[in-house]
Amino acid sequence: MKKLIIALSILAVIIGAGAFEQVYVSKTLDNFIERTEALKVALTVSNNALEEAEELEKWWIEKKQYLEALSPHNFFMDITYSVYEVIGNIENDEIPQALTRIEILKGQISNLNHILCIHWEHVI
Amino acid sequence: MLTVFIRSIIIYVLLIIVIRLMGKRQIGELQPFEFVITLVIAEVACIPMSDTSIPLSHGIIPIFTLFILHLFITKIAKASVKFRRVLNGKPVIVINPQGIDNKVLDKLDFDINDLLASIRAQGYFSPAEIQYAILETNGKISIMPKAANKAATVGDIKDFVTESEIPYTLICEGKLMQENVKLSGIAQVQIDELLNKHSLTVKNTLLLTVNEKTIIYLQPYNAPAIYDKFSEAC
Repeated sequence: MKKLIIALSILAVIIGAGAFEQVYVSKTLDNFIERTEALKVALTVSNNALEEAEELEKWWIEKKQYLEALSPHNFFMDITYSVYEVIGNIENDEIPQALTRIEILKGQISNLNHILCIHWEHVI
Repeated sequence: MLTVFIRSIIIYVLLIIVIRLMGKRQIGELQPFEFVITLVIAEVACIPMSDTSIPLSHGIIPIFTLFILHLFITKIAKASVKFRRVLNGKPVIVINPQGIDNKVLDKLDFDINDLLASIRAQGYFSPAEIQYAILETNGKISIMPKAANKAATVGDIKDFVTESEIPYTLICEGKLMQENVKLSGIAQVQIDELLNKHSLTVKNTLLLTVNEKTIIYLQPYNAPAIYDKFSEAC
């Protein structure tokens, strides 16, 4: 009986943690996409695109810590590189390249969102 | 390096906990599904131990998932004989009074050499000595020898045999085993008198056992064992 209670408790923790992970990862990456959209607007409309980009970088570095506790680290490397590339493009006034890089970044984030969330093709 | 070190400790401790939770059968006689779980647990545990890019949870969750699966399968197997048969198979008689059943051996892909090696491991060098040999679900062979080849027992020699009692360990590595003292029915006073007689204390006694309520095995640290009896000692 004791073992059964322990097993059921562990099962509840696993399912709970799994559900939390799904929600947290999905929300964080959706938020990331919104921020990249905001950066894109800042690039085309305003002058403070660099500040926005650096804010985005700070935000991403902080969130990445928690995401790396839940998922393999190599998933986030490419995204981090892309963020730095965007910053580099903006610093050098390479606006078309920065916009391209932002699109690529959005694609990477969407793809990662799909990989990290549970789908039948990943289970099989 | 430190990360790997800490992860290894965490996973090792978790493995011990899970194997203990699974029970003694995991360490002893393994059924096929238990063998699978034991193999898989070792594999999944090693992955996050050495690869620090993989979160620890990716090793911990499979370990606990396997424990949960093992528990549920064990419970179902306990409740259902049919399920148990499907899961583990059933024991099969490979030698009977007519001799070796080669049809059964063919079905099991078990050849004569394997069979002979298994019976030799049990101390029987010819199938002629065996009445029945059963291949168990865990792969071991159980043997019932022919009457003429059975080892003689006390019951064969004597008409009346008294049953033995299990020996009780009263002191183990310098510590008094209170529960065993209670179960044995030996008074604390008797133990103290015995130790005093041999100029010993509980702390410098490696082992003290008693069986049949009187026969003592007393082993001090770094000294020869003492064989005595309670009624004579106290």
